[in-house]
Amino acid sequence: MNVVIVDDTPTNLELMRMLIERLDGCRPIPFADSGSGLDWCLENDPDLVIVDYLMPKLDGLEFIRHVRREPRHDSLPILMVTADHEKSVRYAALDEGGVDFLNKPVDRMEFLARVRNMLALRRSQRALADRATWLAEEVRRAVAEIHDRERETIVRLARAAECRDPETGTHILRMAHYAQLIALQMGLPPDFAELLLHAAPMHDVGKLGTPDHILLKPGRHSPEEFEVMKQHTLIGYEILRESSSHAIQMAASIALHHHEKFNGSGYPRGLARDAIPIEGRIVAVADVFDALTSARPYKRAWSLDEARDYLRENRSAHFDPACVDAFLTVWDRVLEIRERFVDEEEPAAATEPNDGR
Amino acid sequence: MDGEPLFDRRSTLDNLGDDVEILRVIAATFIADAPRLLADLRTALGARDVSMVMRAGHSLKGSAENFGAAALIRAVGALEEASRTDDFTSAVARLNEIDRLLAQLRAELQAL
Repeated sequence: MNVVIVDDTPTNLELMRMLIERLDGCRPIPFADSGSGLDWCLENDPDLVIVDYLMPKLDGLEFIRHVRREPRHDSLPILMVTADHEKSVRYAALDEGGVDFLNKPVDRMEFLARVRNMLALRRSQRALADRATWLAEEVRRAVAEIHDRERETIVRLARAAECRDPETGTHILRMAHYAQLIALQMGLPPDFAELLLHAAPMHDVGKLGTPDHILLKPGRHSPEEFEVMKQHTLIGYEILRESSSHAIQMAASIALHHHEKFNGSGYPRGLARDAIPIEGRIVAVADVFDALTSARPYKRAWSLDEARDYLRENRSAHFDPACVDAFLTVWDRVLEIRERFVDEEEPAAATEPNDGR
Repeated sequence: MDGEPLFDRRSTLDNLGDDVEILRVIAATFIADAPRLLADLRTALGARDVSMVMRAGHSLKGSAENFGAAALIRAVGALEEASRTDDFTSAVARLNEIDRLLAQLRAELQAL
């Protein structure tokens, strides 16, 4: 352990240096000049400081106050060497906390006993700090593991839904990233945007409950079939609701609300404006945009300009204008996301555009 | 005073837990430092700077205490007291006494 000794009297400095040297595991670091001693303490990691009171320039009390001003040293043990009669000095030093005293002339027995006590205190401080660091790290790791598993569950659920859906895995990734992008651009908290990124892939999980002959039907649905299609929002909500996971709670809301329209003409509940939770309004833009610009068995892929025009034209009717504006403001980033998640195999494009997903 | 040793070997070794090696090292340090301690005191007295006298006196006493040199410490105390009361004639007389005692202590420590 590093024991700093500061005393301007060479004989006393040498005496204390030798006494410290005789202690196991202790390294004396002597300074005859209090200023140099202080500089060392501020730049290094002492375990104990032994400081004489009466010194030219910086005296023992001023020295202690300067050391204490460094937050790392707020509980660093300090021994101050004083003559017996300097009682007011002792009181002032006690005020600084963590200080004990040594009488002059230095007596070996007293010196070593007090040094040992102070170093034992230091060891406990260090052990406690190490334990706190270790615990914090363990907790961080455990929480990260829970998050990872939760994320994995979400991904697997989304994958299960994908199996029955003509939409591709990259669609889910793109729309999730668009959703995060919109949230950030709207000034929503980064935590919220990240939750959205993880929750959005589950928006169509309810399609697990949609019969194949309707879900996989090429071309337009009959009105009756469309009614059945609409049920995927409620089925998804039923699958996901009442989770203790924030991501799955948000996913439940997204599943339920992503087909609502801003003017109240959407489904399943026909909610309008602020009655639609923000995550639902955001995902509506992200999902429709990506569906339009992707080829599906029943439709060709729209061009980016066509899709952008569609968003503009349906601003306020289908979509929350704030979400559309945010999306169009960061168009470059939209294109980056499109570049990043490219479909491996474009499904054969149908000739007739169709929005009846 | 003559024949009476200044260095109190018994109390010094008690304080050092009978560690003769430490005694030798700090004795050598003191012997080397003593001229400076005396010069500081002389300079302070010449300048009639009481706070400087107190500080130099404190250093000298603090060093000499390690060897139990009671007579020397008393003489420094008397010099401090004299300069505190502006009695610089007595103070200078004390300085000569201190000079002599310090030389004696050095000689005794050198003989270790």
